[in-house]
Amino acid sequence: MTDAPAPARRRTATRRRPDVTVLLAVLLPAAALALLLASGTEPVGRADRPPSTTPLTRTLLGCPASLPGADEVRVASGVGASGPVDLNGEQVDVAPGRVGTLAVGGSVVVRGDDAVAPGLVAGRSGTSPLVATDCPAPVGEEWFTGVGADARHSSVLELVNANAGPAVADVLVLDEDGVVDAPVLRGVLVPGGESRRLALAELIPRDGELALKVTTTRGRLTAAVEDTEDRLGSAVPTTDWLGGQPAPETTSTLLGVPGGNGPRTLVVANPGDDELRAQVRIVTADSVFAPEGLDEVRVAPRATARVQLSAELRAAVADGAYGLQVTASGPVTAGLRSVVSGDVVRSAPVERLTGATVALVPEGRKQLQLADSSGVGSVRVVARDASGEEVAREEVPLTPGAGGTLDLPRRAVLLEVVPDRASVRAAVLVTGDGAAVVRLRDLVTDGRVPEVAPGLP
Amino acid sequence: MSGPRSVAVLLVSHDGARWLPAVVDGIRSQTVPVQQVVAVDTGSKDGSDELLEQAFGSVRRVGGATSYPEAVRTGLDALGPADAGPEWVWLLHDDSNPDPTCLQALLAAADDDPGADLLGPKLREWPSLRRLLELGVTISGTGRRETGLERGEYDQGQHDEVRTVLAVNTAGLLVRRSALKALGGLDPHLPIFGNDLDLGWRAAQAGHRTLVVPQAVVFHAEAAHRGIRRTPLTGRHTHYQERRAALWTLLANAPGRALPFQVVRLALGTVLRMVGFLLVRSVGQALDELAALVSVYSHPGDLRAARRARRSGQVADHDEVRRLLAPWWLPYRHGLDFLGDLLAAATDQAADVAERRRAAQAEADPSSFAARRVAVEDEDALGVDSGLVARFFTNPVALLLTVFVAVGLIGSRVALGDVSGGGLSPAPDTVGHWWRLHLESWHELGAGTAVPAPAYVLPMALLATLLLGSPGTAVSAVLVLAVPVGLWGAWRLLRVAGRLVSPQGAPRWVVLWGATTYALVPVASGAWGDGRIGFVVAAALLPWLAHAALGFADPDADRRWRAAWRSGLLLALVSAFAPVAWLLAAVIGLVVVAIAGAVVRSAVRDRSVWGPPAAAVGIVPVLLAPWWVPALVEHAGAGLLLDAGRLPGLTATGLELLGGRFDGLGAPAWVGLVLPVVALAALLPRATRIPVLVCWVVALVTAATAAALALLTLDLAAVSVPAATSFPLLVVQGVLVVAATLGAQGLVAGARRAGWPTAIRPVVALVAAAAAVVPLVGLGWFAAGGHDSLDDDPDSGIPAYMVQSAMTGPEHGILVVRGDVATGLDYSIRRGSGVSLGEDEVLALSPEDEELTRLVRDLVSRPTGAEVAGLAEHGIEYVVLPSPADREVAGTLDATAGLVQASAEDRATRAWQVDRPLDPDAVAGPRSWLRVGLLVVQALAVLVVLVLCAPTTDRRRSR
Repeated sequence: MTDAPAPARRRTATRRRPDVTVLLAVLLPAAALALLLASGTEPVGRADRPPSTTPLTRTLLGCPASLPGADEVRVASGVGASGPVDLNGEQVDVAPGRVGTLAVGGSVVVRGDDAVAPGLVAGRSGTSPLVATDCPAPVGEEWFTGVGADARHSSVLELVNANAGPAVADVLVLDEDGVVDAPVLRGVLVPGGESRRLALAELIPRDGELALKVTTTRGRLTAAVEDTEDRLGSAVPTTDWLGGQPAPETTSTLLGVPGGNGPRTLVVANPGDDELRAQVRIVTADSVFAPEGLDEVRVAPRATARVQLSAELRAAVADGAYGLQVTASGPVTAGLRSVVSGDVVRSAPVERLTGATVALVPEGRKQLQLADSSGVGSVRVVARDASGEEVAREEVPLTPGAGGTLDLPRRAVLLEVVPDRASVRAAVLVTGDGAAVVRLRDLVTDGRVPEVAPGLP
Repeated sequence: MSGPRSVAVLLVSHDGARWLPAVVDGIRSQTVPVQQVVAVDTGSKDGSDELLEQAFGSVRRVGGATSYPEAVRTGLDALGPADAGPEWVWLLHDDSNPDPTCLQALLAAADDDPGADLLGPKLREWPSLRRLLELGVTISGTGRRETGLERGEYDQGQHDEVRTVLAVNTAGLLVRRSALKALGGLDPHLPIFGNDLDLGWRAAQAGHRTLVVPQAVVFHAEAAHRGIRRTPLTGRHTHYQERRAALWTLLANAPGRALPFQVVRLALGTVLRMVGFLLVRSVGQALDELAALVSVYSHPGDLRAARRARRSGQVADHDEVRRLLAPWWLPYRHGLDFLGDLLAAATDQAADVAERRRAAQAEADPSSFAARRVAVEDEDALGVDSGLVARFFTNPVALLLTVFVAVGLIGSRVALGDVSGGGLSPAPDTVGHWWRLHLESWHELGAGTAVPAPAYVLPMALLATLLLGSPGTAVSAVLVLAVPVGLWGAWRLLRVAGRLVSPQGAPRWVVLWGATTYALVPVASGAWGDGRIGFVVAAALLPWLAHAALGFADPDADRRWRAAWRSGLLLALVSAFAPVAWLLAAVIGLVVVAIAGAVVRSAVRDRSVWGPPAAAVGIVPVLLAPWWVPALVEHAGAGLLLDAGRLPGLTATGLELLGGRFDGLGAPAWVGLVLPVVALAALLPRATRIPVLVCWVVALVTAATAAALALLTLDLAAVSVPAATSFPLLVVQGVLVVAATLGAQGLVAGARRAGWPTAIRPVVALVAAAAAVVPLVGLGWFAAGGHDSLDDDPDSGIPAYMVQSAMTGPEHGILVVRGDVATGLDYSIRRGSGVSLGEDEVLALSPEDEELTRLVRDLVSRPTGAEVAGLAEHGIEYVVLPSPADREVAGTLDATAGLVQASAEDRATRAWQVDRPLDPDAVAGPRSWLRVGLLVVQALAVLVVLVLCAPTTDRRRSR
């Protein structure tokens, strides 16, 4: 490590033999650089750990208070289990193919433990006039679209707390102009085991079509909406339950559109921050088409929009149509209110049915309506009456994108519906003294057990 | 001068045959007659007694254990009755040779000043003869013998006036016999040393005066003091005897009112002096100090008797005596001098490796270039001495360094105050927290764990303790000072490295570039802004470590060993902050020793060549034992391959490693790639190609180690992380800087000799300009700020009232569950004020508590009362789902009996209180005696290594 030799000596030296330092000066850095480039590290991502499932050991459902003529709560096991089901402390037995019933006026907490917990379903219905709703399980968020808070069209939100601890809900209200300032609907406390009814016309009186988003911030709640149409002076008020939907969708399929004369109002709500355009189409057994003369609907951000479809639907239903499809440029919620023959009928978006399910329906003329099949397949239907006797066994073939209808016996109260090789949207329209819609949804048989692991602090 | 006085010489000898012939000649050749010579021999075994007998006819033989005071008494008794015998007694030692005119001068002074009763000569060194030893002595408040002379001061007549002093040495003391009798002779409690001081002090108190007469000269070998002569009285512990004498003298003579103060002061002073001696590895002297103190303090009766005896003869006021004592400030002055010496020795240590190698080379071959160069440098040593300020302002490099540091401090402004964020957890509130973390073998963190605290907790705790117990200040200090300390270290390293390569060293502009470029590595890499304190500290210390390691190349084996302890200590410190450093050092050490062994075969056989590097690497596990061993025992060995700080640590792709950047962080990446290009270009100048190749060898070994590390993925309980490659990144950057600096040095050296070839001028200018951009852009980027994730107010998302409750005890834990059901939930348990710096590693390395995991899973899926009770048993008071809380889980917990909903500021955060009595011993755990033992081992090892690596002030060793 001293100074370099004199230039003359260097020249003779290099001529004699190649300089080893030159060789090293090439090899060493090359090797070092190559190794360095190979020694990079990257953060190790943590893979998603989906939850495992396990059969439910307890199911809690909340039924809203009764409407006139609809005192009876019906329960059934969707998986053919038998055993006692607890309805507000009273035991009702369910058995395969059999429906248990109990007449209760107020809200009801349905509790099924152990064997009857998986696939437990409950519903409340009446036939005079026809009304029906299922008793939902608690969910974190639920949308109700086409709600009213004025004298002619008013709605009551009913929150049922099925658990022992207190629960709190926040209700967001949208109208045609935007978000309604409704402090009274924020932080609504429902003590354990109780229910609370919120009459919107009293709490936030206003005209126009509203949409509600019910968010449970504490505890667990089920939400249901009673919707009353009061054409002042001209007829008796008519009430039915208004089905909700868990989340906005870009494509919503609403089934159970009744035939007959009367106003039909579709309400579309846009929960997003951008204006959306929505296209309304009519669903028939084998096609979905846009009616002539119906323009795209513009829905302002965080607001609702009303579409009058009285004429279009009257003609279409007469031609065999039974549903609506709303396709929007972003997620929306939707609800259709039909007042036919003096009875209000609420149609709401139907979830896709992927497996066997059961539905509790009121007696009356009824039609199973299917739409939007995911592929070629079929739907097998078994209908039973109140005594458990099989009254119909049918199979409806499915083609992609299409649906179909199936008329079922009047006395059928329990439908077992099994889609085969395809998923489909399904609802039952019951007609008689007015009409009611029962939407079919997948049974909840399993609970999710999240994967738990130690985390970084 | 009046008529001749009667003088008796009293010569005491003990094994003094080496000097006696000359002493006898000295006595015989006195220009004034000596009436009588009394020789006393204290059991000599070398024939001294016979020499004396031949010279003076008779000799009194006494036992070898006879003390000097007793021997003098024996001699005085031989003089006969006091009123009949000679008037004066002249005390001489067997190693003190009087100048022929000595006695004459002393007597003349006595005549001039009849009031003087004790007269002492000027003592000069024997055999060098010209160096002054003593011109009268006094004693300082700490018992130090003060001569008022510089060490080795030459006698040029500069002190030649007769003065009154406290005492003079007994070698050559001319004392009026009556006065000596009145004083009771020498104190028999002081057998060899210090009896002269005591005599002088007593004489002064009794109203006698002591004069030093510089015209009288005695040459003194100080045989006993230097340990040349060993007597049964001194034994091997001359220091013990000297110190004991000093303590005795001070305590026996100090005025009564000052005594309590003096007793305390001397005891504390002894402790301080012991520490000082231990620091310079003089264990024997430290023990002597202690023994002397114990010896004096354990005989208070003797002291009381001695004080009583002195009081009876006291005539003079103490204030008069005090004039003769050393001034009060003198011990402090000596302390300052000592510190200065220590500092000089410390900074001198390796800066001179290059020079010492050259000097050793010159010594080995006086005809070599090296020898000639040393001669030339010595002549240059007397340079122009201008004022410090003037030199600073006329030195652009110094000015630029100052500007760099100032701008760097501006850039690090965000680190002031309490900081956390990125990879940095908040510092704990008190330093006691860190000490507990370090000393405890079971940590009440998470579910309770025996995983040891990371090794850096100890240095941080020490630093925080020094900074008045503020951990926050310690963290800020580390972050703020990292760049200046790294700059200083890099400057020293590059200067020595340059001078190892060639005597002129690297041009200062080049060193400036290299040092600033390196100092900015932690900043430009993004580690600083991400709060990666481990990397930052390692970066600041690495050049110091490399500098210490250069000591392995020292020509002196003793210095190589000292370099070993020094490097070992620094390596341990760096490894505490960047554990991979030890592994890398071991690999580099192996490769370097292997290459050295292949090149110089003899090196392998010489233990002092391979031993020091091996010791430096080997001592690290011992110094870090309380962390190292329990980590392995507790299955937390992954920590040895991880960076300090929060996980996951920083990663870097291959190109980022080369450019000195961490993933997604740091200054513009293209700037980082300039350095490797410059380092490659550094291979071109022939003059420095070999040292640059050495740098590339280190880079190669580092890259190979990094490549091996990159293959490892460490699966911890909570996270999987790649092994840390940040330290290799740092080393690569450092090595590239050194290579580039040396290359530039070679280029400049070549150009100085042969001029700049026209063809390469533009290329050189281009490379230089590109290189200059690196520190400039880095510094500008840093000073601009805003690239960091440091924050002074970390938001944990945990409600404040819960934290307050948690701080009341470890059993008030908070179970924090993050994530959602769809992608999985992660839980952690927060205790106390939350995770603070030093606890991240403990928690991350703790193995999973599977029972607790099962409990949490049951709790969030299908809770029953058993799960809630289980929470209480695990010391969990609250369950928190931070925003955004999973609704499903929240709903489940809401519906659980025994969990009471609790409020949180953020409505998206959900919380519950466990409504069950908490188990106060929920997180308690056993004490590990193994770790206690390891802590003791560590403390001892640190002390020993500190002593071993301290610069020596012992001239015998430093020679």
